[in-house]
Amino acid sequence: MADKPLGQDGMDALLIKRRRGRNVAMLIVLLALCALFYAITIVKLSGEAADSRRSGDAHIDPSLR
Amino acid sequence: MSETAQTLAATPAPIAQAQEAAVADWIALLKPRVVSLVVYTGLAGLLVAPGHLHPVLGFTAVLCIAVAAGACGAINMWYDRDIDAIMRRTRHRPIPAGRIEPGAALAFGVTLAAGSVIVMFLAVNTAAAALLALSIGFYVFVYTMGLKRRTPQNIVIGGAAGAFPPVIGWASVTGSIAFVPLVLFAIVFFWTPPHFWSLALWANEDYARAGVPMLPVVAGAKETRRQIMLYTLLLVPLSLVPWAMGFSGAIYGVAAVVLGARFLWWAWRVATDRQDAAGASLTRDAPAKAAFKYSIVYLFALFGALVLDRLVG
Repeated sequence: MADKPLGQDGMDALLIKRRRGRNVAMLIVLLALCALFYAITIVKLSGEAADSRRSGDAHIDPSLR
Repeated sequence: MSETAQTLAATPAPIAQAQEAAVADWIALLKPRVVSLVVYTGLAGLLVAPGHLHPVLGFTAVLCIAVAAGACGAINMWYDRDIDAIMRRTRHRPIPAGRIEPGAALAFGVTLAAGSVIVMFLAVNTAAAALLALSIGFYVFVYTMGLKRRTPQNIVIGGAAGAFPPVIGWASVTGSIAFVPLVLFAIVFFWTPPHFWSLALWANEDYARAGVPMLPVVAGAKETRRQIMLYTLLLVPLSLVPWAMGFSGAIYGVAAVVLGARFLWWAWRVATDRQDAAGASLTRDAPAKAAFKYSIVYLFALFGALVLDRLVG
């Protein structure tokens, strides 16, 4: 079955809908990246703290021991 | 104005020509089906590697592999937009359909490729990032720009790009390359020709129209069927190497034998497909279509068995 032709209003509404969809997707991607980079930082920091503890590094912040 | 032109002028622009790409178009640019296979083999390489990687970093490594594969897909679609517009199978892709500007697709791909390598380097390790960069460069410059339009061996040599993920997954954990990931690389490498040539057999007209020298176009269907059989004969014993060298146990060994026997059977069916004197299939390439579908199941099941064997054993 052929698609029903869209008028100018229909086209505008479609464009706005698509733009909004892209903006929402971008927001989700950016928030997910923030969460991922935060998690990576925590993992890296805790890994370094553990390494320093094992090697007896005296310079490590006592609060991380 | 001709009658056709008048008709076209009177016809409202279809949704596809709205010049506002939907999110689905950008996702399509990443070739999600290809990405799923790449992610799977990359994850398998990561899971079977000796050592430990924090789950967050493991997730990051797999995400980087997925994003890099998607980026390659986007750059490939940008470069191949002229032939995509000619081929029936690809003419509805976002660039030839006019929903995404070629320049925007290229920028999207390059940004994702660079981002994936940088994050891999910062979060995981240098070896994995270097291998990821190498695989992107190989796919874009060697396969897409170098081989694809020049030689019927395009997917044989270019298949190396798709064989990198298990090695990258392994390197994410160990920070180095060993013999086992190279065997996994070889398995995907020898799996690629029977997989793609099975598709090329029944998409032959499309490739011929676009001037892509796939093996069936250049050497004919008969030779392609013979090559599918040969590569499958090489693939099956190769798939037994992880078991023969003691890296995996009985679960993988049995799976590799059973799956390989089935793949050989399908390759045999393709080779002995009813055909005319010129080699054209009289069964509408039904065995080749089935072999193509089975080749995907084969790779998923083989790597799944390898992971299961390592986790259980």
